[in-house]
Amino acid sequence: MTVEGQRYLEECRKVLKEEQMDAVSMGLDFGLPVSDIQKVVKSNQEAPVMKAIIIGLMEGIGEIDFLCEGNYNQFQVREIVEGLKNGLDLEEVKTYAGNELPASRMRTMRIQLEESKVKKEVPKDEEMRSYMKNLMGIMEQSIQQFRESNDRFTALSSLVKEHVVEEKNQEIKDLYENLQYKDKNIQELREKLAKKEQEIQDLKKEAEKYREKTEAVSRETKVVLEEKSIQTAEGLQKSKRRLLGIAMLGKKVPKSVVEKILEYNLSAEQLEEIRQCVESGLADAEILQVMENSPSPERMKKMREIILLMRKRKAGV
Amino acid sequence: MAELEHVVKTFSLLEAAEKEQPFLTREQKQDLYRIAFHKESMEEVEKIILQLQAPHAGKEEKERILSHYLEPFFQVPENILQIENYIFQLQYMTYEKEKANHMLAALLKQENIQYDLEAMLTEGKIKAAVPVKKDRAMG
Repeated sequence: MTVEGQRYLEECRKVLKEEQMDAVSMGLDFGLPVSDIQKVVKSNQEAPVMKAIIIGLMEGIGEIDFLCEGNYNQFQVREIVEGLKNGLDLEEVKTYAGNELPASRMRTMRIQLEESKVKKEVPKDEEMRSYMKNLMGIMEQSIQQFRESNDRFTALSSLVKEHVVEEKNQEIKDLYENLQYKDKNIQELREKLAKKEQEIQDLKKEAEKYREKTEAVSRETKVVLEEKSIQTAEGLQKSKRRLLGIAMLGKKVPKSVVEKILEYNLSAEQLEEIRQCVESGLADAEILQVMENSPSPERMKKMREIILLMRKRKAGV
Repeated sequence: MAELEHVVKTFSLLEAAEKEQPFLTREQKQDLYRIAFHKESMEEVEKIILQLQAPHAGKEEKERILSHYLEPFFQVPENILQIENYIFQLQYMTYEKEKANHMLAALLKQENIQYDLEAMLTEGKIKAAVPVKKDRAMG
């Protein structure tokens, strides 16, 4: 034991129990650095825990702070030391090192972890070579598969391009040409329409002019005609009266029959028929029947004959 | 030992799962392909995808799941890992190309176009060989 160690041991004797002193003494006798022993002492652990930590340090475990600060019992410390000794790193040890876990559980977990780590270890060269060879075979096979797939793609896409895309392109081209033709047609029709509209416009203007002229002329004509018609109607009425006067000369024609004759505005032929009726001796009522609704002269004649025949039949002739 | 078929099945499963929203990064997918490549059972791969797809699974959770399933496989050097990734990429490109091929074939069928693909492929190979000869002749 070094002088420094002996001095520290003397200091410890004042504060530590006998069992704790045994552990410290053991560590110092082994030749552990005083600084490490100081850390263990300062952690104020129970003697068995202190002993377990110092044994771990003697085994070459470097994680002294983790062991001192963890508040583990002696068995838990042993499991931690065992894990670190068997090649687990601190992070891996932390996965099973918990105050709440019993040492037995920690032991099971530690063993599993150690085993899985062994499995994961880099395989031997021979195994690696074999795997690499296998992998290269798969790589070649994958390249071949890709090439074949690519060839199929090239063949199929060329077919699609030839039969579908080009056909569709032609269709689009045709449609485009058709559209252009129709556009041209529409343009021509629009031009024609514009011309026609212009013509219609011109004609309307002409028509308007003519209409105005015609209206002026017709107004004048109307005035003239009205004057003439007044004169003509008056003359006609006079002539009719004159003719009727001659026809009825010496006959008794009642006033109502004459009024009706004037009202119906009968023609000369019709008036002749009326005269015949009077001559034949038809009564006023019968003459009125004959001229009712101003029938044609022939019809008047027939009606007169019928009335006369009916008279004869009534008389028993 | 290595199941390439599982990797290809994983493409379609992932495609269906990610239809609405992608949930894995490129690196995470590569890890998943590696798991599928080494797993003996495809059912297990499907279960892993379901775990990864869980709505509550964040980035860290997904990485924890993936590393948990990757753990049992022996660790390989970076260059071998790279080759594995090349294989997965090649397989993925082939998968995508085949999808395109199916679409083209369907289009040709729809247009009622008859063709002999095998004959075309053979002819294509011959044609591909001809320019080489010509070049040599010209050279």
